Amino acid sequence: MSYLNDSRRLQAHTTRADTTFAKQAVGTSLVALSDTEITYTPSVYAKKVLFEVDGTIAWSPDGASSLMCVRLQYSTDGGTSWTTYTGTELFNGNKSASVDYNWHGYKWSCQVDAWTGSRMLRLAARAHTSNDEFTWGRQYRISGGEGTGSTPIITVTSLTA
Amino acid sequence: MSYFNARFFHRSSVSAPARQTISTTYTELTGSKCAVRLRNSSSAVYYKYCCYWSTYVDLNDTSTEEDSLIHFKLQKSNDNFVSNIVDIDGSRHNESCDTIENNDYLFKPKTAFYIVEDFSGYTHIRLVARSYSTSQRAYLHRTFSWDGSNTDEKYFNTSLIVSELEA
Repeated sequence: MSYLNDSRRLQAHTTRADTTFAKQAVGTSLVALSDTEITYTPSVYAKKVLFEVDGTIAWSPDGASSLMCVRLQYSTDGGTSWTTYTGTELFNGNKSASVDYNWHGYKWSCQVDAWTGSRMLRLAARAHTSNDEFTWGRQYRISGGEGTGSTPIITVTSLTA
Repeated sequence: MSYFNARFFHRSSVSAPARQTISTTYTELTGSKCAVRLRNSSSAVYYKYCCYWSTYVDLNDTSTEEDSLIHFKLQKSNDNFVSNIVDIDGSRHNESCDTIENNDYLFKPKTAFYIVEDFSGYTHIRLVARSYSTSQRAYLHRTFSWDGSNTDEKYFNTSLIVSELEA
């Protein structure tokens, strides 16, 4: 069975998914997560903007712990300065008693107030401590060896209700 | 005068939700409930809810940690869950951290996404959860730890989208 969602409440549906993504090692300095930046103008009827993420982290380099402190940020000056949306902070990952090489896939959604005009949006993250560093978008082949990476999917939608 | 009878659509987000502790009684997840008014009673319901959940642990004091194992399910009702509470078939699922080795902790977003086909006669929908045992509880919505500190509490706002779908 297939379904049609034509409630007309979802507008300006925009997706970023790149084919040139490369995995990114993340330490304790706050950095923009690769391939998550998107410039977005809400629909004129928007009351909220829905930001959806589908991304992965891998254990490397710390086999027993990967802890990602990630947040949604915006910029109104072309990326010179960034502000975190309060309430979008996520503490993701695992902390284990021994080395167990975890790989995590995440999907999450944030709703933020709509704005007028254009903003740049991105995810920024850091490892919790130097013992919890991780890799964003790492891919490992069945046949062994590193793949080209697991591209995050970013979707932004205007909500008119 | 003409009128456009729009299909049902709901969106909501609970800001700064309080921490919920999920134990052995089924508990409604904050921000997961919605009153539904379908235009066509035969329509299906799109339900997508997101929150944060974690192992029952405070990294500042791990002496009380538990290996979390949680049961989730979607429910519907025709009286706002006063007396009519119906589990939705096919929605039951589990989430856990490592349940064998102690001191293995998991922290992650929780996205529950369903298409509910049989909603005629019902008016409300929600997501509930319980733990497998009293020693396998979980926390929702808030972390004790952030950016290198284990005493810097942060919250993650819930997100709920419910929409009418026509086949």
